[in-house]
Amino acid sequence: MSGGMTMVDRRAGLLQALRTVLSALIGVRHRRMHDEDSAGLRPIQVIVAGVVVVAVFVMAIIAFVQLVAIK
Amino acid sequence: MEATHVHGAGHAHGDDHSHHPKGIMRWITTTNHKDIGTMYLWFSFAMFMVGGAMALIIRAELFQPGLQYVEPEFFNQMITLHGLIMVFGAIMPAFVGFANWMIPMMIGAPDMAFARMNNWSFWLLPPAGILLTASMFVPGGAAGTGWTLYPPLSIQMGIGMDMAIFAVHILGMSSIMGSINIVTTILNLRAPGMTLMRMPMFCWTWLITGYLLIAVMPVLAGAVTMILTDRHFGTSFFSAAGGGDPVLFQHIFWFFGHPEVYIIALPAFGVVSHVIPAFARKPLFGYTSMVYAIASIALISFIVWAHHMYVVGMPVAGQLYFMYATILIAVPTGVKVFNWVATMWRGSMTFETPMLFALGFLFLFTIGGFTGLVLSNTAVDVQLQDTYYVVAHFHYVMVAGALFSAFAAVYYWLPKWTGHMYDETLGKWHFWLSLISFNIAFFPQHFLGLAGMPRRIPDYALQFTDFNQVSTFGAFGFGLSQLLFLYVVLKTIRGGEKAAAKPWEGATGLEWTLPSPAPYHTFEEPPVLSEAKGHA
Repeated sequence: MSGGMTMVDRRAGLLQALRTVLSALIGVRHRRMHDEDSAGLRPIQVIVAGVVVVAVFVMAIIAFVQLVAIK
Repeated sequence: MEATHVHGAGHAHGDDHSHHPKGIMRWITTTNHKDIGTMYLWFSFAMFMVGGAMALIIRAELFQPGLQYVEPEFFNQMITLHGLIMVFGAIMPAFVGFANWMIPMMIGAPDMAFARMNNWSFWLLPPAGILLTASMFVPGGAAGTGWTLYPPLSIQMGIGMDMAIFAVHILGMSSIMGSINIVTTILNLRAPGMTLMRMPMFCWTWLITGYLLIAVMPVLAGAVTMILTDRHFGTSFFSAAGGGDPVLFQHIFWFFGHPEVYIIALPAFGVVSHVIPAFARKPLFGYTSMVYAIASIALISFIVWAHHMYVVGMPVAGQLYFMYATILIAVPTGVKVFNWVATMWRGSMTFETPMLFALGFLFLFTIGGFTGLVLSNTAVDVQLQDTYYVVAHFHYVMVAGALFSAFAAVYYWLPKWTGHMYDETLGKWHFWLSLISFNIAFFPQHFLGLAGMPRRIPDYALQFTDFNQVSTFGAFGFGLSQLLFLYVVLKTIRGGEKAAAKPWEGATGLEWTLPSPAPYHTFEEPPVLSEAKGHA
């Protein structure tokens, strides 16, 4: 499944993976940025970033709930 | 295209199986993805008819207040079996059937990755279907708990409940094997040069659906197994008397049940993402954001399950959490609807039957999505839970969403499967009859729910009569319209205008490079991809 990934010499960082996942949650982004990401990112980076973002997302909602539910 | 020699040779087993058995043994022993896809689709249609007949019994009983035709116990069994059969027997196998037929042809693979397991995945289904339908005839009748199988009722039922549990186990095994097969096929058997981001959208939706199925089917199996041991082996997982908790079941069930909604919806999204570009003669708008949106929907689907259980007893903080998370899932779903509309924007559109069903899907699924947003609001849901508003909501999602998309898929790919064009006039009749009767059947149920009519009850107060009668008329009209669908399909199989390899002007993808009907074995050698053929 790593077709096309091995020829990449530039390894993208965690920040770029997070950026990809965050824009995925909103669902809109420039094609140029997408092309950059798909050239530099490995699937495992995106999956790990996705799980991290969902965990943070859940905690953010819980924090917000705590904020509004305080009597 | 330049990489043909890299991993093409490893997968293209060009074995010639032209000596395959004839008659019934062909179907029992087949490992051909097209044969198995066909069997999935016919099984699904048979179950659709059985589940539909049950729906009509339900609607006939609800034509008038009071009890007319069936006993309340039998009514509950109809409610339960209709739900289980339609979800597990009709809709899910239909989309696995499409996957079997189309995914290998879309990605340029000779067959599914595990051809023999594919046969076993299918042949598990008929025993499960028989178990479910036969459970009506055992002492105590079928499970009468509703398709959610909530305890304590599911712990008290007769042997019909055990048959339902066993059927769910078998169906779950079939689904898990089917999805392992699909995921492996997509990840390993793509033609050289077809990177993941050039893959047709239907394959993307099934890749993600496959992971969802592998994640949640064991959860459901665990839940029903715990019911089984509570029933027969002295455990008390869900029995308060023994220290257990019936609400635990609801949490486990809906941890499966909510992703299950997307398991059904995502492949439907995939089909529509092929049909709309083909008949708008424009590439899919925002392919990348569509892939992202599908992945996001899949992730978020795991963190919203308790919105099905707002009134069961939950702290306010819990209700708020699930409400916020649920409302947020509207964002990626909205992106998808936006993309489909933008695909059509200034397109050169024609309205053949597949396009009509895709547009019907888009319009009605959006209504179902909006009523879902209404129900996601805890304060509103406390009023509307267990009313016909919920019934209307999920039928807009499941019937106008998944089923209409399945019809679009059948009409879209039927020329490829049979080599004949279907009767366009009759296809359009099928669409309009379905669209109108569907809305007559289900739109009034919103009003019934808002007025407070509870679901799963065979009797109702007098003031609900008019809308129930309208709904029953619509339901019978919808049911009868599907016989027309059967006729159109049979007519197309038996003959008709010869279909071209690519009968739809705007269609793209590898499947249309094959002749119609598709030969028994295709892509024994991996195809050479041009720049234009990668995307759907």
